[in-house]
Formats: sequence, structure tokens, C-alpha cells
Amino acid sequence: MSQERERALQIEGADPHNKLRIICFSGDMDKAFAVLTLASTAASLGMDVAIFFTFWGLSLIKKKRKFKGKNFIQKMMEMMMPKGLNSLGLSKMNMAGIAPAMMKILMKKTGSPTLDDLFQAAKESGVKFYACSTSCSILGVDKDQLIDEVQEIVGAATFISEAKGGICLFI
Amino acid sequence: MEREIGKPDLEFDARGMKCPMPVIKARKYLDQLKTGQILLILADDPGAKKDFPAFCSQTGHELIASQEENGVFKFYIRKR
Repeated sequence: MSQERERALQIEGADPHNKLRIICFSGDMDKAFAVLTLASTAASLGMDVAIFFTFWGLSLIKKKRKFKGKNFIQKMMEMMMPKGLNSLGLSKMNMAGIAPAMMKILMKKTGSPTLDDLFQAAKESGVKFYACSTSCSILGVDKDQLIDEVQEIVGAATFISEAKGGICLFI
Repeated sequence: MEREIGKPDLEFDARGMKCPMPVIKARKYLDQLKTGQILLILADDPGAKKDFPAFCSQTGHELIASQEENGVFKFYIRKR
């Protein structure tokens, strides 16, 4: 737990409403920016933050491509999906991967944080990462394929009961 | 300005940084300070103008003073 979070708990007397829960459904670069910006900022403001990665959102927390132990269709899906946080496409005007590269150049030029910067900030400020169990089993993704920051593979009921009373976003 | 509120204990130059990095890094700077010490933040992201007052009201740190000069915002924050 971050120092800021501990202090916020003291100030607000462990306010259960002071929390943000994000369902990261999309696997697009632009939407990943929204997810990681909001998560890292809220955590820096002392909120308790968790992101629940589901479906295409799993691409954000993949360590590498993995084919072992997957059936034929899952292998095909694996081939077609991004291999990780740094190979996401844009939700619009992707132009076969040219636009994300241009976007990265623009971000460097304007001094904007990259997805890696934001992910690092989120991690350091105590954001929790969860993966959806059903999405994982449909796509044949296991914990080994996910980055180490993912604490657990959880179900919908866990998310709902955890999210109660907090701000909830579906991105 | 500094004559009234005293010399800041730490300075964080966030000029050139874009939202949300000034706020995220400011938290780390505040973590280095003790209660009552003052952090001076310089920022030129247009969002910073409202972001730091919001940051303070959310975290409980005290925004003692702020000023704007040629597009650069200065915030004096006392750690709570």
C-alpha cells in the first residue's frame, strides 16, 4: 500500500467509496492510454485502484506470445492478437500498424508519457491488476503468459463485490 | 512570494511534462518530505492549473499559494 493511500485512509477513515475500478475490455492503444492514465492518476490521488482485464484487454497484460497447450483456434487467435502492451493498434485509422508508429513518434516529440511510463507509474502507485477467468480460458491464456504484476485470475462475482461503492469505468 | 511562506524544502520542475505525469511525480516528491514541509512545483501543462488544486483537495495536502507567470504555474504545497 502506498504512503499516499495510507494517509488517505487516515483522513477519510477508510472510506470504501474512495476507490476506482476499471474494466479494461478493449485491446486498443488509444483506449489503453485512457485506462492507464486514469488508473495511475487516481492511485496518486490516494484512491484504491484495480483494473480488471477482460477479452481484448488481456493483450495489455500479456508477457509474450504462447502457443503451447492451446488448441487450433486458440493458436490462430494468438497469432492475430497483439503480443503485448507495446504492439497494440489504434481503434480508428490503424492503417495496418502505421498509425500507432506515428502516434509513438508524436508522443515522443510532445513529451507525452508512453504506455510503458504510465504502466510503470500505475504499478508503483499500487494499482492492482486482475485478469478475467472466462476470457483467459476461452483464449487459452494462463497465468504464465501474463505479466507478473497480475495478482490473480478472478471471476465476475469477485469483481462485482470488490467494486461495490466505488467509481466504475468500462473501457 | 517566498518571503511570506518561507523557502520551499524541495523543488519539483515538471516543465515539459504532460498530464498525468506532473501529478504522479509530485506524489513521489511529497513522499520524500516530512509533515509541514513545503514542496514547490513548476509546471507548464495547461491541465496543471486545475489538477494541483484537485490533487490537494483529494489528498489533504495544503495548497498554500499558486501563481502563473508566462504560462508557467507555480504551486506551493505543504505536506500534511
